[in-house]
Amino acid sequence: MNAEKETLVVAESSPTLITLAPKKHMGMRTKNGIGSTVIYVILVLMSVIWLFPFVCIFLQSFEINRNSELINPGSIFPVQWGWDNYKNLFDPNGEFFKDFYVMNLDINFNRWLLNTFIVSLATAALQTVIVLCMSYTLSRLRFKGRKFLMKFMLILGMFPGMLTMIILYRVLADLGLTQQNSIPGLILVYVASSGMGYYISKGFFDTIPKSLDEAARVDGATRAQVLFKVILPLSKPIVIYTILTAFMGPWGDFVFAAYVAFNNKDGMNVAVGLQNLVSGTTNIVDKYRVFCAGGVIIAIPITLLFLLLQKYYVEGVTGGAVKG
Amino acid sequence: MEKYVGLEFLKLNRFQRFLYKFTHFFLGIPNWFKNLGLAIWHLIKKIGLAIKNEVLDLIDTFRKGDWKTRVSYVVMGFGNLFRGQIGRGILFLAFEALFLFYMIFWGGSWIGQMSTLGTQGPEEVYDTVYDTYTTIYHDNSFKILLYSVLSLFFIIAFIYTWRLNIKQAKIAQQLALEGKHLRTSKEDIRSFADDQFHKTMLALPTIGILVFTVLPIIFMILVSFTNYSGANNNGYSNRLFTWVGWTNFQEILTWQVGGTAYSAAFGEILGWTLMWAFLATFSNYFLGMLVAIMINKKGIKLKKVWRTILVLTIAIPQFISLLYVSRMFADNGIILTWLRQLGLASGSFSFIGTNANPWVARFTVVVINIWIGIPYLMLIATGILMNIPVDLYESAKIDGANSWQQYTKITLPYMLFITGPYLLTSFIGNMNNFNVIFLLTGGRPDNPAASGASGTVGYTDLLITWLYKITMGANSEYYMASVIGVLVFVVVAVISLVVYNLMPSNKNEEDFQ
Amino acid sequence: MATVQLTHVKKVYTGKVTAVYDFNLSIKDKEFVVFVGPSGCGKSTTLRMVAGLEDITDGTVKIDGKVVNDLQPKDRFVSMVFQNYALYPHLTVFDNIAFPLRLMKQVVKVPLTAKEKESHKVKIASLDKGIAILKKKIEDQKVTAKRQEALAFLDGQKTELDKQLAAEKDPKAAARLQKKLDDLAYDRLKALYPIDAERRLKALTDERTALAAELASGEKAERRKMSNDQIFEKVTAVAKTLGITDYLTRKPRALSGGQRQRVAIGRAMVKDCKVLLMDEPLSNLDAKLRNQMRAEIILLRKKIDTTFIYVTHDQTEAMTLGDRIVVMKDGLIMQVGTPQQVFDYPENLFVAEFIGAPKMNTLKCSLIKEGAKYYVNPFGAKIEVTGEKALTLAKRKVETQEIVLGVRPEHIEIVPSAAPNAIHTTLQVNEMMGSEFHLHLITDDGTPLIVRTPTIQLSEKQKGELVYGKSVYLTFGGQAMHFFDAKSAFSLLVDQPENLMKKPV
Repeated sequence: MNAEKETLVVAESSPTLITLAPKKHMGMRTKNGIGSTVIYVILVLMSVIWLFPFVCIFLQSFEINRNSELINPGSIFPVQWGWDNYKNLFDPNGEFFKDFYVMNLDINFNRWLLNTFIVSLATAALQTVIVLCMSYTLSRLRFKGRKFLMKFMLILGMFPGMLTMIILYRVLADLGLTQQNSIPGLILVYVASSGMGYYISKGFFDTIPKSLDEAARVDGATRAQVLFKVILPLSKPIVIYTILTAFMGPWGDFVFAAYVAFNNKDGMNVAVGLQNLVSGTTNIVDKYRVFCAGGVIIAIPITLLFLLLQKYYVEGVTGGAVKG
Repeated sequence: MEKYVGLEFLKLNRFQRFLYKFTHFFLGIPNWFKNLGLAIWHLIKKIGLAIKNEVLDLIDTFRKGDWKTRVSYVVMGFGNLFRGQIGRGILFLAFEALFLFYMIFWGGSWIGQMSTLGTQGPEEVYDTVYDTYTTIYHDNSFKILLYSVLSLFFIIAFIYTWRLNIKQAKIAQQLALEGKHLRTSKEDIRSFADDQFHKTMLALPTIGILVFTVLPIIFMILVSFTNYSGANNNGYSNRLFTWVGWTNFQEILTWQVGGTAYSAAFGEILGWTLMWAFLATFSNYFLGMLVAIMINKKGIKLKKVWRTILVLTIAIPQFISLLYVSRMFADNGIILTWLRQLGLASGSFSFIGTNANPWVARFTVVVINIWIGIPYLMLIATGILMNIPVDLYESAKIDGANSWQQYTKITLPYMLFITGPYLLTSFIGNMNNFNVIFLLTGGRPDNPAASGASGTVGYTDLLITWLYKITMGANSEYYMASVIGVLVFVVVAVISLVVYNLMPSNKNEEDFQ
Repeated sequence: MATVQLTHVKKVYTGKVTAVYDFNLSIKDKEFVVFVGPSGCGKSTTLRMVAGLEDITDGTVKIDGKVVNDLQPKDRFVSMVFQNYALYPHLTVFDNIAFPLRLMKQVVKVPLTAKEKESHKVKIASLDKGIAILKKKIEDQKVTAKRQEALAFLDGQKTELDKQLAAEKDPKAAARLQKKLDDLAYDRLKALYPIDAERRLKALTDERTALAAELASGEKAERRKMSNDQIFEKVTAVAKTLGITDYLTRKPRALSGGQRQRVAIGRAMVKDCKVLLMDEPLSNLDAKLRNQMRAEIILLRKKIDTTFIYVTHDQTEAMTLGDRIVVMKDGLIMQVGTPQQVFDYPENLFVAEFIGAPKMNTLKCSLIKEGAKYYVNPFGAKIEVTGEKALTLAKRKVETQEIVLGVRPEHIEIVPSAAPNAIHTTLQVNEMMGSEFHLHLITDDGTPLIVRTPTIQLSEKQKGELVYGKSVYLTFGGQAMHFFDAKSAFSLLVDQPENLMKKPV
């Protein structure tokens, strides 16, 4: 159950910029110049605004002075730089690292990381298979009930996902897959209904010409062989995109995972854990710093993965190999 | 009202054309309703006809069937077994056995209780041995409902399979009669890699969807007709609840001044949800497009850099960014501290705190949502912009269009054409945009007039956050949550239907190839 | 190397669009047949039905005498060259051509071991026993008195119903009676045969025959994949024939259109197919390359000894490549014949106008029968019909009627104004092709005509005179004309088929 919007990622700047014949009058050039300057100014302003929160998060994660609010209110720069917040994250009770301000927070970040990592690995593997099965079939195979199936899933998608949380939780609870054992429960729920998220993959498969399928079938391939020998080798970008999307999903789910973990620290994932951390009212300043530290730790790999994902999406869209 | 066609229409000037289209749109609405009614009626007729054909076919098959086919009506798979299709025959038989076994020993009892959902709640009984009160759990309504629904599913599946078995018996008999070849089990298995490949591929995903999405949804729809809640309620609780029919819907939909908490809240929240969805969608759409055009403009360097910076907002998980931003805008947060230092805000001004002005809070939320939403739209718009054929612009330039005219006459229409369907999905997505509202404000500032028995409802709450609060709240009135969920579905479905029918092209092209 | 028979083949798409109505054709072994027609006429659809890529709504397709309607493409032993080549982008040229070979399992004869021979003998013995028992059982069943009674009863009912049906006027009641008759036929069939026993008997008999054959020959057939060496040999041989040996290591995107075309042909050639299907293979090439490839395909045909079905919309390709052409329009066959036949004796107006470039001139006039002679009267002239066609007209006892007259541009002559039956026209456009002029003329009453005239016979003065507005006088000979019924557009020289132009109900 992904609470995040499906990331629609599109091509970046195309390498060929078609320009008109460059005979411009002086007037036009100046006008263009002014226009461009205005745009640059706007873009710079926007960049500052857009990056501001992240810069804050990053800086705040290094603040270790306990009275920074009083010393320097309204400043985002740390009064005192240090790794304490990170140490608190990994070692809340001060057993491993020495020499830092121990907050004794009731967290288990390491376990959360492990949980989320395992869940996302498993989800990445299984969900990819399911989504690709569904999108390939809907894209290239024709069978009775295909249109009905697509319409049906469209309608199913109109129900708010949260509605099913309760019952799924009950079922998982009955099966003993909650709290400490949240991992298999979460994997099961994420993967089982993931077939409904076939749109992007199907769109990709649709761009592969059907004549390739037909040529292969005339050459003697069964439909299964067509999939494995012809289509899949051409679909590397899509497959990787699906894997990455599936991997990134569980890291951001703080709704269903919270329900499944049911306040058991060992069963939480990072999203739930961190959110839980700052949901109270005591010690909020300290907790937010640790939160920022946690945020930085997670954000970096996820962002890198996301940028990687973009690259594969672009490859898939502009893959010239498929023509001809 | 005159109808202009072809050249006559083109004679009108722009204003007249607009007026004409405008009035005809409204005049066309009753017609549209009539068409909808007709469509529904046709659908019903089609279903009726299909059922009649099935029944006729069943009778016909029985009449024409030889003894093997006739036995198949009772013993599934018989027709296939005795004509050499052992694999299929055994599968059918096994399924029948499984079903009968299940119904007799397990399912039947659950279905029997479905009408009442149990009658005895948990009971405290004094245990003389241990000198304490223990609870004896009698009926568990949840389980009853769940397993009954499961059993009903099973029954439907059985009916379908039985019908399939009859069809297969008939086909087998026919083929045998004509001396044609019947597929052996080995050939059957091999066909799963070829002409039946779609079944192989779809088996797992569809079962997953059936069990983990369809079943829960049906279950929750049923719950909305009960009084399943976490709290104790006249002897009903989360272990024992019962059917209440349409009471819940009545409660939430009837608008009574000073009425129950739910009806008051519902209207207010629905209104804000729709307004929010509208503002969020369109603000992001146009601004995102604008940004995309700006970056895409010739002569702007470092395009990739600008785009990557904006895209970072999407990359970083929302629970980190939004939670922190909410802190930034909090009463003691950075933004207000700065504004106060600069003397621009009074001490009591609050963006999204508990004492904020509701409209200030709502405005803030929309603005922050722009921060989240523009990068998405910018990416989509960029991709489309790149695909607009450059000759359109070149020919416009030769015809003497300036930049603004090019934007309104080429870029904008093209974008609207391509992303039109996306606007709809975006609108619906924003209606159900839990993350942004919940993480930013948690629904605050509170709306005392709308808060009822379940949790505090706020001015920025969406239907979906309200649903969440009810579910997680102290009293966990699940039935209300289900009702809201169903109503959300109805709203979304209606909007989708209307928009789909209004859009001329694109609607089929996008979904189905 | 096989015959192909299409009998009453029909294709209807869901949504009730009929693409092919009633296609009947019998293709001989090693024949090169071309389906030609404008877009949307159903030629590609028919080809794909032969290939197995489209379901056949009605009718049968037989390849080599075997009905293939229900067979997957891979079981039909056909090869296909696609319009957009459909080469596998991720494979090298070599692997592209080798692809079908790697999927194939060849039938290889393997000698039987002694143990297998023994077990065969045992099995045959037990099968014989089973067959004997079944045969007796079937015979018994057939003769039972009960069965005879049932048959007699059913036959009696049938005669009754037949009588009723003949007398019935009301169509609805007739339909119901017909349905009863159909049910009766089914019951009769059921009563006649003990169906499952017969099927089992056939299965057992087939198995016995196969085992006995194996035993007799001492070998059994096994399906094995081709070895790498074999594949290498075949692929390189094909590459050599097509002249693409240098490209074997490249990937398709590094090849030009013509080269890709050859690879596609190579992939189709490499396996021994019964029919080689080509779906507009030259449409994606530029004009010059197209001419070149056309010649190469003709040469290729000599090297590949199999049946060809070729689809195109270009009538030049059809004329030059085919042994026989099938002209199609809107899902119907307009005419089947050799290129020369179709050119000289078009059976209807569509074929006449479709074949031959520039298009045949058509004009309305009358066919007049005067005694034993026939005349046509275009634009006031009176031209006698001579030669074979006159005889045919006489034989078919054609009367005076309004017709559409067809004359090919190359059969019209420019004559001096004083010549007999000279028709006055005004020149509009002169397309100077170098070796000939294509003159676009317009008659006094506005009918456009096109005339092809070789320039070699014209003097310089004459050539210079052929400009806009010049008056040109034309006539044409009595043997060069084609006559079409003004209403049905059918040639008056052949029997009008019943259902060709009408969409069947």
